[in-house]
Amino acid sequence: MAKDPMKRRGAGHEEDILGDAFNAAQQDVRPLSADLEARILMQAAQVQAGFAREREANGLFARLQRAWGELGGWPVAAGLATATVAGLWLGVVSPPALDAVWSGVGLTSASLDGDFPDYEAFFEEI
Amino acid sequence: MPDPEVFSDDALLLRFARGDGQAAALLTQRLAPRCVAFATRMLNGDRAEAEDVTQEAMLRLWRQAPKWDAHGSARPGTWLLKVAGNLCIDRLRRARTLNIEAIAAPADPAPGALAKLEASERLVALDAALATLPDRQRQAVVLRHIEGWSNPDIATAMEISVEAAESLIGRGKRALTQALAPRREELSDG
Repeated sequence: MAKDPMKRRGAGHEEDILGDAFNAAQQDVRPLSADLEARILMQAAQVQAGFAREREANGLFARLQRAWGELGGWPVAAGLATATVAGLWLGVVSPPALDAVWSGVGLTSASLDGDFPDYEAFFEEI
Repeated sequence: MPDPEVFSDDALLLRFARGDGQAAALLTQRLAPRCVAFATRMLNGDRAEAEDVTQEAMLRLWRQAPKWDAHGSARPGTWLLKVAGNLCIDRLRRARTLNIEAIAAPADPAPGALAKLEASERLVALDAALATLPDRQRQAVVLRHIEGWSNPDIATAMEISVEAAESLIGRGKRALTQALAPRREELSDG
């Protein structure tokens, strides 16, 4: 092994001093102060509480997702939404073309009006 | 309580992420004292500032726990010193920007070094000499010669090439040797 150039120049003593100083520094690890340890552990507890909340929220989300899947999921929701919109549209617009359908089963908007009982007379009796 | 002999730092960090409160205490006892010592040297002997850095680095470690890759290359101890090193450099830069005159006195031994009256002469001399090095040089030298890291690990932590890390360490060590040379006689007896 080639000799260290610093040592060839007679700098070996300084190298030894430096090596000894490094060794001393490696051992120079003091115990934590109680205050710092308490601060670190307090933050650890706060972070850990956040993990627990996340796990709880994730658990609830997973349960909701499972229930959603059991109910049929998005295909069922899409069908339900379509039916709702269609029903609303029929109720609001009441297209005349539908009268033909109602008349086929013996119902028209006019005939429906006539078939309802006379509530005014009913309430007068009471 | 997890057995400290059985659990590695990685295992303790994963246990912490799963809610084990004792794991935090064990990891703190294992990792934080070394981190304070490292940060104190990085911050030219300012132990109070080093404790703040350690607290911040530990907080980042806790937050990292659920994402921790136990099979990855980094260990919690090395990860912590890497984060602490970066925090120290940030603080030193900020302090230099705020008060250039207070920092630009390299011949003056670090306040922490002066306060270490109970420490050995060599340790005090080393800390004073380390305080005269540029921040990145000091970081590389401390990681190599006091923390015992390999050059590739230092390069990864400092985000530089291995050659650049070797160069920083070499220059730093030469500067330290020169700084200690005038005190050769008194230190050789210590």
